[in-house]
Amino acid sequence: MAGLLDTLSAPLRRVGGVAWEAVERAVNEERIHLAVTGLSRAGKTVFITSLVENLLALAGGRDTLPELRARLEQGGANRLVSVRLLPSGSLALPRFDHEGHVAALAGREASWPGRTEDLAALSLEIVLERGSAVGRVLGPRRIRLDILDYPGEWLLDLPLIGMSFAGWAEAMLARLRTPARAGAAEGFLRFLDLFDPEALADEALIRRGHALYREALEALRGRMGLRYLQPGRFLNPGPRGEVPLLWFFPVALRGSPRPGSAGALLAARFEAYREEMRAGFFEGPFRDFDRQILLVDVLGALHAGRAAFEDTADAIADLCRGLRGAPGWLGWGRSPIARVAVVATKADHVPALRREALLHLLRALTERGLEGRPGGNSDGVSLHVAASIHATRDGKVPLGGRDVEVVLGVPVGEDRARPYFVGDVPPGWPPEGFWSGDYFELPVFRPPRIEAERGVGVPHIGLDGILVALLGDLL
Amino acid sequence: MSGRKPGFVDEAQAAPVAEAPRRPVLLEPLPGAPSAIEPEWAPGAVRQRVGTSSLAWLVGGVALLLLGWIGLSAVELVLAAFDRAAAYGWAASAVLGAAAAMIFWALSVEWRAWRALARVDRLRALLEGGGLEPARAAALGWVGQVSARLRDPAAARAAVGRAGSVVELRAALQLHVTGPLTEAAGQAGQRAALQAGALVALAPHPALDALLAGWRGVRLVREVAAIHGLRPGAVATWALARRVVATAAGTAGVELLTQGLSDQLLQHMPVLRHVAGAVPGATLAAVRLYRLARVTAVACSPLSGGRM
Repeated sequence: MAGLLDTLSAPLRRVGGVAWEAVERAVNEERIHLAVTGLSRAGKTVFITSLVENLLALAGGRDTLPELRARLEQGGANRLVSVRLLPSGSLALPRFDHEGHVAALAGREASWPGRTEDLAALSLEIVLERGSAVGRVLGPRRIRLDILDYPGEWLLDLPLIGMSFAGWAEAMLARLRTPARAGAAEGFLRFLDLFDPEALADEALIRRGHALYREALEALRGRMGLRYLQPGRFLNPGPRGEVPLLWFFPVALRGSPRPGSAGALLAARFEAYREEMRAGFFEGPFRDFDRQILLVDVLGALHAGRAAFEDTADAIADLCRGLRGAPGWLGWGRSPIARVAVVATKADHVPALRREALLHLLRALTERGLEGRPGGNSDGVSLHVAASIHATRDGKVPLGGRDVEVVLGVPVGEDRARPYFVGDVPPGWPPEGFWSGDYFELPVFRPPRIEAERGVGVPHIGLDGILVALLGDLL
Repeated sequence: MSGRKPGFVDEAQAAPVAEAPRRPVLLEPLPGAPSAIEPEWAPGAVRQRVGTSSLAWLVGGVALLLLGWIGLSAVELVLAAFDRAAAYGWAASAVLGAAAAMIFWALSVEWRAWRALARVDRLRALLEGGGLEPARAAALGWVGQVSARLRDPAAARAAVGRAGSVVELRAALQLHVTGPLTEAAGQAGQRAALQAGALVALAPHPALDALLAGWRGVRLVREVAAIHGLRPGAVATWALARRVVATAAGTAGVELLTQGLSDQLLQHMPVLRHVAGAVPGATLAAVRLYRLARVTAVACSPLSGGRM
């Protein structure tokens, strides 16, 4: 009998240990998937970098996120015990290069991190003291925050999942032929006049058409500031680069294309592209999101002109539909996305007194994407203005015979601070008379040099409010 | 009339208004422009949580020992009384039962006070970053808690019910609930200030000043809490006093500690001005109590950034 007990004791101890660990994890650990996306140049990478640095600094005892600190306070003392970056472990996704981005900002000549080309993930562990004396017996709570950075252009491909090649091509060509876009897409539209989809598939010709279509998309993005450009991977192909399934372009079909024809090959590639995005992204990492941050460069769109502004509104509407439509959003469908923060970035380009107008403008821009959502706009969706890194200072200068409020910043590539006057920021959808037709590219100011030393934080505007709105229910 | 300030356009000396620039523009550097911009950002230090001290454990242990000793002695007393005579035993049981009932009543009062404080904390958290519906439900609960102090509770409930967003909900509470409550707290503060001023003026020895003001201060905290529907017992009053200290140290509280508030009090209370002329210490006690009332009102309100 004693021998039997001896034999069983080791496995029993192991099982007991595993069971205890599981119970402890169930009681004390929570896992949150936070996705950060936005259309290109909205500042996703720098947003995550600043967010993480400021969380680490807050845990180190610096009040870098005052609203979040207030939320974590109890009886005048902070409940935040620690924040740490978790090792990558066996993560299947590329790791977000946080250290590299901090190094870029902390260099002698501080520079902005590069743009998001692929999915990237980073995990943080936030340890919180429990509020009640009874709860403290259970030990501190651990919130594992998995941050996923992905290009917003990819999300714009979500509507493609439910479209046929013919339907998509018709919609895209109609957009390209509008007067505002036709100039930038001239080369591709001329090519289409010569292209016969019923002819036998010619690989070289199809690749030429694809290259021209992509050039048109790049011109629309670069010269006109447009964002609603599909397919997203044409502009942001990801780590696999150029693969044959990307070699297609929109073309009008007359009925079902003949097998072996160019039209049939284009349709087949469209189907393959759609399937890969569905299986590799929308049913992969995309499915696990709990919380979502959607970054929008509202000022950039406003200054790029009417076409760009309306195009951005279309893109946001589709992004919102994408978030709530296919897998679901806030109780619609299957998605567990509980909270969404829509953020107008680059708020440091606007003097403090006029940021409220920027928030109202964001509300107008997102109205169409949020309309029809049950519960009204304030449930689960919050709107914010923010600057991931505050690179300017408010000031006043004489302009047009009067003193105007400006921000002062050092433009990238220059060596002296210049005042930037942001102009009218309408507190709602801009009226007809607002558009002048001029394209104005928002200046890029050099970021302030931050300390390389961990735990100092990064100057920002509004990140604390975003964190409270997104994670407040868990804290 | 200037370009920025309001005024009549036909003012005799009005200068012509410059056309407001509308389009964005990156201007040339000003003379002496710096080569780097450092934003005004200087985060302070966060107050870290201090764990339960050994003294607290010691006090807890001693309290447990005393309570256990009293409880066990009481049981032994009843058993011994029954050994002497049944009637004597029943009498001892009745006395102990009545004492236990009173203790439980006091504990339930404390427990309710804690719950009320926790409800205000929850509402504050929801108003800062929660969803509309949970915040509305919590706000309606709080309006019910303080309805006796409101001029028109039905209007307050209706305004809370109509709010279409958390921001509107805050505005509705501000207008219909916290405004009248803050006013009532201010009146309680004025009464306490006058009484404290008079008491200090009448006190036979300066050493009594602090004692009198302290006693009136504790009563005032309880009064203001009661105005906010909290009715704290002794333990909850202690918790509230700690919160008042934390509020006073915060940004909202600092505004309440400024000279302006003292001037405002003296302006509204001519009697106090006369007392102040005769006994300078009386004014100090009065002003401190008035400040205490205002800070307590902020600490008791779910709108931490509300009107003060």
